[in-house]
Amino acid sequence: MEILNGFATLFSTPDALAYTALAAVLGVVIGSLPGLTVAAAIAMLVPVTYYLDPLAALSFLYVIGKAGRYGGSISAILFNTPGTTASVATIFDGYPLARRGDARRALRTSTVASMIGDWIGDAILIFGAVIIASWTSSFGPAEYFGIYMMAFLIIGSVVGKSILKGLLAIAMGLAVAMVGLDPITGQPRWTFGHIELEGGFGLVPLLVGLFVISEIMVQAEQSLRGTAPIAFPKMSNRGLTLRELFRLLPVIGRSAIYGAFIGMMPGLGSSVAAFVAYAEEKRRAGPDAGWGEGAIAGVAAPEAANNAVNGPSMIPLLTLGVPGTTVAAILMGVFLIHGIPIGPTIFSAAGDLVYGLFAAGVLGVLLYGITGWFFGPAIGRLVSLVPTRYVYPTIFLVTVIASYSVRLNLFDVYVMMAAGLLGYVMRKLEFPTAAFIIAFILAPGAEESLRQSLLLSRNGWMIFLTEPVAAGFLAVGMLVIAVRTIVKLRQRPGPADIDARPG
Amino acid sequence: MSRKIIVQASRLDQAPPDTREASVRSSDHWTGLVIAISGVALFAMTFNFTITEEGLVGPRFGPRVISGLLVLGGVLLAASPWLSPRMPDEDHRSAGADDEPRSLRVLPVVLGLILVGFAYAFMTRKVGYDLSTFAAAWAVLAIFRVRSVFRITAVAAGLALAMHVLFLEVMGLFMPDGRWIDLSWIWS
Repeated sequence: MEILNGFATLFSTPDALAYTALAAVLGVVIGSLPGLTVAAAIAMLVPVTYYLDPLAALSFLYVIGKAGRYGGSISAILFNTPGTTASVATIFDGYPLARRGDARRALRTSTVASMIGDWIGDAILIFGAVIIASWTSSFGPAEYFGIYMMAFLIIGSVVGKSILKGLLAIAMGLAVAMVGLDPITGQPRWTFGHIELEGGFGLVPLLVGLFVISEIMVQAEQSLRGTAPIAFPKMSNRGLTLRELFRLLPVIGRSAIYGAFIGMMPGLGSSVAAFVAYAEEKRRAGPDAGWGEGAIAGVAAPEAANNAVNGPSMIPLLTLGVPGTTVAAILMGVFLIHGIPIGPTIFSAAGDLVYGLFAAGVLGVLLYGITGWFFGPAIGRLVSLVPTRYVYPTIFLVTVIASYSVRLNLFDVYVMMAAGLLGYVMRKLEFPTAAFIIAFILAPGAEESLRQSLLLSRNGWMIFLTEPVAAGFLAVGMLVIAVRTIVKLRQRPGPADIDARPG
Repeated sequence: MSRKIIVQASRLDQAPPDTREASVRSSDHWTGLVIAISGVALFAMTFNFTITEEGLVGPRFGPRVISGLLVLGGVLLAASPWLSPRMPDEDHRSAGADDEPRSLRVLPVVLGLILVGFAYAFMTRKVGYDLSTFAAAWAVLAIFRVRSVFRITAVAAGLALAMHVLFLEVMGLFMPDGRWIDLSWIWS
């Protein structure tokens, strides 16, 4: 089995092994810090990986993503503040458990559920990705253009509250990506005569600016309101018993399946998975099961689901070259930086690397589970003691040098700050920054596949309708937009309903 | 069919959702206009591309399509406050008035961070990495309301030292020397 070769590759690469272990611990700590999203942290750490072996670099960032999603549950349970958006649903039952002294039980439930959910997701990734890749390996430029358009339409319409704003964010990302020299003719486009813009905008400065600098601005805004010291709850020694664990297994299994399925869909992500799993399992449990008041199943369901997203979210990235989540988009950037072609050919061109990455993911889950099981409360205590007014200035300084280190050019720092302001404004106006960055990453491939298709075509634009697979992808994208629009219109209050709303 | 009211959990201590939504919708009009005007400007710039289409598409095609979409989307967004039904308590003036004091307090903080970032990059070439990092750290700590001047100075100095050791000495990153002042002689 290829995955065994992957483990062999991982264990024969000491750097990759060491960085996987480091990422498991670091990811849990980062995830438990309220306000610093996992995507932002990964974006900030990308430059650190430039000089690493590709497997070490990818393993480091991939496992941070996994561990970070789990780590968010620590502050959700202990402090009623989710460390990541994926942990919001964990608060509903996790914090009540902590308030009555059962924080350790909640933390251990979260640990076990996250591990099992993550491993189920990894199994689906390992066995599913290669099957899908074998189908997509025969695709040509027309099919790829269909895939890119489908991704733009789905991500633009699903991510964020407003379809129009999502699509506008996609358009803005595409526009920013076109700044620079045309890849075929070398024609300068929108460079305003500046030589620094001829190479286009760097991915890392944009990523770091959009996600990290904008978050620092939000945190600085928060500091105006003042923050009360975080109180660490009293904790009994009561943990999770084996009997309780066996009773939770069906909940964990079902939730992991919800999470894995949602993880494969571009644009949905771990927070949607967590809420869907929580709502569905609460409905199954019935009104007398105590959900919302400290039921451990209410911690297990969202945690299993949000971590089960990790593996399957890599499937569209590895098989189609389309990142469905922000973390996947960042990882795609890392693949490109290291010269590894993304798409179905990756299994033949870099199979050892891919399966080594899968193995790192599986091992990383074990390591973050051990970290969380034994040190979860200690990490929570550390988070409560470190004031964020020192953390964010430190992060600010690190981001500046991270952006500079890409091309050793201070111009990238200016780009990062401008992107930070743009990201802050987008957040305030409810434009999805994830859609913007995914469009930025996919734009070159989309334009190249469009132009190649038309060069090869005898029928001009009709090639996208005469090629059935390309037409199918375009139709799926249009269908998703149509369905989302209809759902949105139905959700809107009509004049008669406005008076009926409570309050 | 009963309608579900979806409550979005938010960590931020903000104005009530209704007021915030009204504020966002009132700004959609101006945001849409800015986007549409930007789209028009970008489209106009495509006429300066000296190499044009070869065959069906060329270097000008993508930029023109995208800028056209920005114009279209911007116009739709600008018109959206009139196209969408309104909540009964939605009053753009009152929503704006509630937000003004908040916006006025937040603006200096946000712009201050931007200014610090740009100044940091600019001053690195003038006074070197160590001094510019110390100054930037000092400024950002002040923005984050660390009160004691002594504490700010001490932490800023510590951060500048830590950054130098980690990135320049351990990782071997090259930073440009300062043209006016340069402290790199301390480390050599």
